[in-house]
Amino acid sequence: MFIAQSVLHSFTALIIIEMSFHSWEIRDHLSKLRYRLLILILPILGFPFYQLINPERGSMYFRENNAIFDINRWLSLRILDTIPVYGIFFLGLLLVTLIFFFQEIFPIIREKMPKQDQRPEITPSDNIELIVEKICGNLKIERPSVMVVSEQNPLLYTTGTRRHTIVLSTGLLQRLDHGQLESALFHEIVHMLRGSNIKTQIIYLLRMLMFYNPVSMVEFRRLVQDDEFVCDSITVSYTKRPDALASAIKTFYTSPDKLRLSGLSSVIDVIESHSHNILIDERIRHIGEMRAEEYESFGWGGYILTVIVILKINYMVV
Amino acid sequence: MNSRILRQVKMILSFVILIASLVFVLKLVNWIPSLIDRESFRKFNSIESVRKELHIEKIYMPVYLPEDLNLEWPHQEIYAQKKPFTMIITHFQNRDSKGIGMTIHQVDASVNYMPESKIKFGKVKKESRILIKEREGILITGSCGNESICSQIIWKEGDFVLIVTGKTSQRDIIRIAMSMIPEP
Repeated sequence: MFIAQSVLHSFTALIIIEMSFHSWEIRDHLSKLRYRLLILILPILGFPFYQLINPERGSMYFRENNAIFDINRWLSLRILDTIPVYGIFFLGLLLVTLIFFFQEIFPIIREKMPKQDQRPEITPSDNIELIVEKICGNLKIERPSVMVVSEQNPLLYTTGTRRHTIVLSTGLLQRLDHGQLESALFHEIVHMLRGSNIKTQIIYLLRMLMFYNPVSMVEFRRLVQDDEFVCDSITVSYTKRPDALASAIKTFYTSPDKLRLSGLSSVIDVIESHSHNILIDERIRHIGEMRAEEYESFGWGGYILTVIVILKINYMVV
Repeated sequence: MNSRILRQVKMILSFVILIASLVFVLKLVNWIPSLIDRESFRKFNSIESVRKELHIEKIYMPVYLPEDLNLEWPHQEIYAQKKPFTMIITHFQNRDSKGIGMTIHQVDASVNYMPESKIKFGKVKKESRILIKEREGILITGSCGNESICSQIIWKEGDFVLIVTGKTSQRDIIRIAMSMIPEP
């Protein structure tokens, strides 16, 4: 019951939030991120909350007289009098669970396992240290440590939740000029400043609670993308060099042509690579379209109204 | 100032229209299965429509209702299904309190299913075996809600199990049950 309803509640929350974006004219990604969080949070808390305020909510009378949508009506159907719809529904959820395991859990397990071919660490050049020092001085924040690893692929990420480390690869350093490197490092420091790592971990925990939910799977990715967009906007607003950031991002394009095309894993790699490139394209387009007035004050009135509408409609979706 | 208010009115209006259309779509999607499967649980207007649409010949109804029970006739609500098993639920409303005063559940005897009643027992005082026109049944007496007397009687009638629950005494519930059994 909880599983079916939580999927349904996520879906209605998603539709209502997309309607809110349209009605409240929400275009900035920080506001979108706050709204999208509701898609992960409300379906988890909704069901126990509704049952607490009305234990009769699950009864057949409520379903018949009060509900605006009852999933049992669809799940109890049989296609051609043989194939039960509930079987197809739960098979779909099982598929999402498998995708979750292979795409999200399995890489984490693999990452945690001891590796034989550790990437050798290189002392960062004074140039990198100076850029980081300058950015942190401007932002008046504690300077993170910097680690350069010997790797031909372009890598750039931040580790840690309290004491941060920016990790770069030699492959990235070879590809970026000074301006691009400055923008890329600024972007990472903004992540650090915003506490993106800890926030992403909390959001991921919410997503893990609904591992079977396809809406949560998609929305978790969109939330992470929104965070990237927000950091891009902040970076450009400080550096005033959108072109430098856009060209730095371009170095992270992956080429499916270079992937070995054999077996299922390669097909998955091509799909992953394609979706990764789409995100990069979106970020570059977003940087190009950035406007000064984009960050208006957050409209709490519209937000509260949206929360109330989601709670009210989902109460009647059983 | 006016243009700002106008913009906000437009925003709210747009939101209301979109939400109303979502509710409409949800209701529409909810209605479709009832077109595909006409025999699953739903509400009916009358016993006649249950007979006609679900082709259930035997629907047991009381021919006697004690005056002091003050129940409205005909029934207030009737729900029925034929799939996955036959079940008919009838609710009778109290004229004064407008609450449900009596419920009748008619369930296929081949399934071991006890439907939830809208009249819920708070405390069961006595459970005994009785004979209703030579049929063996169970009589339960107790209280429900605000300490009012509640009685329930369960017995097998043909292919069905009948459960009559009322906010009334055991004497009245036996008389109602007896009036439901057709004369040979």
